[in-house]
Amino acid sequence: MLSSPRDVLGKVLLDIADEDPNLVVLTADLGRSCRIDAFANRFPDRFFDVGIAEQNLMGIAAGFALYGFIPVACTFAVFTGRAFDQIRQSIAYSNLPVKIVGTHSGLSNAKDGATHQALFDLALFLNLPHFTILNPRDADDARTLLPQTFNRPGPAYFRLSREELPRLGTPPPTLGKGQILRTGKDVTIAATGAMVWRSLAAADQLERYGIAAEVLSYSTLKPFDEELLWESAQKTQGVITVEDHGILGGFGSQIAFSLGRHGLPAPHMMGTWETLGDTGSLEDLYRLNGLSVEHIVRKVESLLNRQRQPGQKH
Amino acid sequence: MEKVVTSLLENQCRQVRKDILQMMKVSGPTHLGGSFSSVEILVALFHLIDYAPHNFHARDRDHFILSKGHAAPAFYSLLAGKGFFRREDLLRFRSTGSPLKGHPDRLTTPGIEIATGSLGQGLSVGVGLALAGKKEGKSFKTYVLLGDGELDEGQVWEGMAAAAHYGLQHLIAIVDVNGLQLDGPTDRIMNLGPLPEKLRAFGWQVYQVDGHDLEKLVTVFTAAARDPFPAPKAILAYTVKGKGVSFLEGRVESHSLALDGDDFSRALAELGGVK
Repeated sequence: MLSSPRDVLGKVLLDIADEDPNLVVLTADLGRSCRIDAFANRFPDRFFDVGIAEQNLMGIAAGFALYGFIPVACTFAVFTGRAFDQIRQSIAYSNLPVKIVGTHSGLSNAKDGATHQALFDLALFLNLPHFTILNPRDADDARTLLPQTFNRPGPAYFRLSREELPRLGTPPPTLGKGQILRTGKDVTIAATGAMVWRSLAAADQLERYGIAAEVLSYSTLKPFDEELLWESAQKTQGVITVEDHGILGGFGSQIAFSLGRHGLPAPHMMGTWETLGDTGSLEDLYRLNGLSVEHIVRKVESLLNRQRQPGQKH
Repeated sequence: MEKVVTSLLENQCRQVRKDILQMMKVSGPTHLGGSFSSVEILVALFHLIDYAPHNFHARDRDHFILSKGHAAPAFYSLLAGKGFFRREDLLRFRSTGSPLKGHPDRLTTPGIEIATGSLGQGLSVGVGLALAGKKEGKSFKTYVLLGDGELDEGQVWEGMAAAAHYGLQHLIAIVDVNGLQLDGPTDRIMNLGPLPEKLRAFGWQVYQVDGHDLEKLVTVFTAAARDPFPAPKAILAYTVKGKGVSFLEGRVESHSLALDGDDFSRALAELGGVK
């Protein structure tokens, strides 16, 4: 069964709004695209569409937060970059509880092309103090995690894919914790967001070739669960990171930093490299950027220096 | 305004300017020009508004955002005068570990609503506050002080448009029109004039005032606050950059500099000496 994380956003906000009168929702003319039009219809006095003006969106959200509201500012993930200085100064510096939602993350806005793809947003947000950062792996994950951030002080960034992702049926996540979705002794695949199902699919294939891959899922990128990573890395022969984001400054860099400061070898990083994105079908784009299931399988094989031997267990 | 009040406020202005010079003395090159041009505006405004340590955490008090964050020295002096922190703290301005940063920081300096310094951001925050107040049916005022050079930033005009769109009657933007920005005269670097017409076209009620005349400032602030017209209010306060020290006035170099030796003594003497 498929579902897009962005499609649950409106439902989550409606649930929270019923309980918390301080929730207000803002957007910069992307209310329908962010799937929050149902919220706008039900709570017109708590919904503010500021027009196509992302810098103003972040500043106005900061003003609502100063007054005592919990504002949720929704736009495409790529356009948060346009308002980064406002996020840095008007939100992060004063530690205001603005919750920023960036939809259409990674390459998931495939047909709109490079102008609408978000491959650097994590690099920006990961360097900001105070922020909680979430990148859910499927719609159920998003539905569980989003409400948890409202109980935390300070700002947050929700990175939501537009891709119709498989509903994985995995145990619900806890904010701030990574999860082992599949155990294995040969290799660690650490994945985030839309790359988690691909990593699980790769692990299925690898099993057939006699390779036991451990799959770590990181839906919370900040605070970052380092212990889970260290334990797995000490057990297996190597770590591969997978993200639909530039590998410099993103999830892979975060893992490399964590492994390095614990005296563990550098990971093999899979992500986009020196590109702004492109137009095409979603699966073509992931394949052209070396991020298909097949690419993950091949990466593991080359890491373990093994040829495929179908059916052979070891 | 009673003569005794005017005289009190005049003294306060002198004190603020002297404080700024002392802060410069301990910290090196300082934004003197834009701090001095804002002194009467700040003193007159804080004489009127409901903004003090005892109610700082109340949400329905008047709000103030120093969007031109480089005028922080003037604002810090005012805040010390209001009792937000000790006057001695002014002399730790910009030193390592000091609560008084180069530009306003909400988390370290009591009395600061929100961090500013990277220009053009304060008005949007003011729009958010005023919109929140309107949503809740409150009538507190939100004041935002901008520089005229700052109006080059596109975000300011996004904020201007939104304030008019939402009919934010209780939002009052004050522009310190000192006519000079870092690189030169504003009409030569980026001519935005005529400002009154531009602001009216954006849907704002426009007031204009001599930004160094305390009585006129008090009058115009009072009028703008009471104006029932359902639109945001802009007050163009015409000022002189570096005002108060003759050899700084109207000089582009006064934007950021340090005065030493004789210049420091002369400046202090013009303001009535150490007291």
